[in-house]
Amino acid sequence: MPIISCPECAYSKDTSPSIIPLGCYSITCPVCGHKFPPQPPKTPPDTPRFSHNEVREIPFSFHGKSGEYFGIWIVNTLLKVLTLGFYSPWAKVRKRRYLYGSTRLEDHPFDYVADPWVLFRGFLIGITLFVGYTLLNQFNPLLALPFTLVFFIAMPWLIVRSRMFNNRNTSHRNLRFSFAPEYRESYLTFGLLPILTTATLGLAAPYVMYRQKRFLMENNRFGQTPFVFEATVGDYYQIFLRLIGLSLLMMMIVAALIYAAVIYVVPATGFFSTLTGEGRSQMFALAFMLIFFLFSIASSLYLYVRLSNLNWNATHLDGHYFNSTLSVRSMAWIFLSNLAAISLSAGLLIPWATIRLTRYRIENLSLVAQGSLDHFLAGQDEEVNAIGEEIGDIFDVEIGL
Amino acid sequence: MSDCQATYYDGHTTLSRQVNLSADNGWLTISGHAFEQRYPVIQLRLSPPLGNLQRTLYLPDGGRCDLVDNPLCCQLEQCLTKRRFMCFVHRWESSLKRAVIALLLTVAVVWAFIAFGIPVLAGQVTEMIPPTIEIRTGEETLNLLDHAMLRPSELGETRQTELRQMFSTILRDLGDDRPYQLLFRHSPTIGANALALPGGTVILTDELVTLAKSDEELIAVMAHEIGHIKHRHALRMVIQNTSAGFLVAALTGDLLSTTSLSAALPTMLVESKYSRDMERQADQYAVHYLTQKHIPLTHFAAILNRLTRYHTEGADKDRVDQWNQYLRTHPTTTERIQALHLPRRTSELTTGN
Repeated sequence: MPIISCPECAYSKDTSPSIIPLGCYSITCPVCGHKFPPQPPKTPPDTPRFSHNEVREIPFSFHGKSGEYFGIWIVNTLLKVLTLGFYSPWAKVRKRRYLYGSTRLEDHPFDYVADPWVLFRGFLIGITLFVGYTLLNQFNPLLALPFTLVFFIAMPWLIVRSRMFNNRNTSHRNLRFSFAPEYRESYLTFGLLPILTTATLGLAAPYVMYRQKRFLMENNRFGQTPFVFEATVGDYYQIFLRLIGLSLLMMMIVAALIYAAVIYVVPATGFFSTLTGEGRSQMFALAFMLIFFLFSIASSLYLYVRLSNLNWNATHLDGHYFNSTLSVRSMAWIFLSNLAAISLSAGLLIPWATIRLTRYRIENLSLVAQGSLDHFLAGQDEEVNAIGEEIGDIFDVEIGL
Repeated sequence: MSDCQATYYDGHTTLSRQVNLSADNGWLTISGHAFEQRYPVIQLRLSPPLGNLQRTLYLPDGGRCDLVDNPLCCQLEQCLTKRRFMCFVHRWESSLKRAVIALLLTVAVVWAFIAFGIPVLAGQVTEMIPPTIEIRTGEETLNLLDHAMLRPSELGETRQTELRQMFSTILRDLGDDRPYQLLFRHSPTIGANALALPGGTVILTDELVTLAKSDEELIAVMAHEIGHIKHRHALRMVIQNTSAGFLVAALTGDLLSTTSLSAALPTMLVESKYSRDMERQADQYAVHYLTQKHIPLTHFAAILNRLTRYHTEGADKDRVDQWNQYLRTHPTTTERIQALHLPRRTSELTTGN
């Protein structure tokens, strides 16, 4: 039985826990009238199921189904079209809630708890800006220029606001995530540092990406508990160096193949002689574009997978750490087959592709927990408006997650 | 009354408890191991049904209960009349038959929007915009073109006056009081071409004037360009493309990370469809004028053919026509000439080659 005692007059009383509602924030002393918060959170009545230092690996599991998601996707798309797009905040909440709710850790689901009306207000502002910008751009591109400038200046702010909104509206075991950075740092990492990338002709790119990721990860919180990010710049440069090495190797192989084709295969088939000079250069241009396209996809997938693994594996949360096991080969297969499926089905397989990709990403992540996960405490919740989130969404601000 | 099992989280810690829920007389009772709480049902919020996810009861003090969909939910739902709409959405989402209907409806609605809705709306919006804006835009466009790809005309002054005379005759016949003007430019970049700028400026390139074999051919071209201006096509194009781009973006907005690539193609398809429709409308305008003046349409067909040959010199024409069918800004010349409904004989004559 907890004993409640007033810090002012020291009056105290034995109380059964059921008398104090769990959400109670202040108790009024019956003797002196002083208001005070209840004593530190009541010790949980259930005995902890795990001893303090037992280490276990808990996989994230994904329970979404393509069939279910297809229904959700198509009905919400229809409603979006019928309402001229104004339904999109509701559609977004429904789709995200499905994906988040289908993701579980130790059988506890995640939840996306954004209020569609809050999103709707942000949506209205975003759409007004978007339509204004588009029209301005068509009628008077010169006037649209200052607009673009303002947009770039607002970018770091947008990134922070959007992440704040999304974290704040993600919950797990009824504890919300949050994002609590300083705007100054956001302007440094997303405003000034990218200039460094250009100034060094890309040599500083890994450093800049590292700083941005660190900024995004370090300021994340689960309840009161901050995430700790321990990756180093060296790790980032290592991945980029490997990418460059692999690229050179690939280029050599491709060049050798082309050389072989031109010398041995083409004269034998006599295919080339049927083409005019213009046809030849067109064919070369086409082949070059195809190779370039495949190459850029391959390298961005490589970076995505290697960096995701690095980032997660270097992230701690109160002594629990993450384990990410994505592989470049599986990711490339999923990405390319998704792309093919979506284009061949005129977009109908988008829900299937989304579920497939999400499943792969989530099921390759696990939490290596030390002891029980029951002790995280809630932080202070502040309402965040959705302006940043919606403007970012409508103007397609890319935030690498 | 009905009761059920649920997982309870108090919102202060991550600790979860298995609890029993029961609803009675407008109160919900949560009872677990060594604790019990009661809430007025009115203050609860129940998450709308979604897929096969568990339902969530959000409690007024920040706590929550996750529970499997069951009779208790229905019972609570009846007390909490809000969010009926989401239950309706859920019924549609969870039935395959209705999802297929939704799919067909979506396709139909999108098609109707693109084919009728947007052009009609754009037409009405265009009516509301004062012509002064168009004139300003036209002037700016002309400045830009003069810098980028147009050079001063090298045509003789007499020829220019002659053509201007023809131009004002057409205008007088059509009775339009817009500030039209005819300009001549020389352009190695775009070659034989005619342009209609918003506001009322028609540009003929020297190359086009020399390509034409008779004045009637040039009259047809001028009437076509005047058609563009009369129907305010430049302005409509802006409005239609903006709204179409918006529609496509709304539809493809959640396409993984391939957004830009996959949204660009449909937008291009729709935009070129609009462009072709406007060309057809301008053609009709020219045909209407030529018929009125008893000028044989063969002249129009002749200049169209000659222009096509001029621009596709060296390229394999048929192949180009087939491949670009959906991305062309203009209908194919064959189609345009067929639309002139020439008498059979002459049609064969002009399209031959």
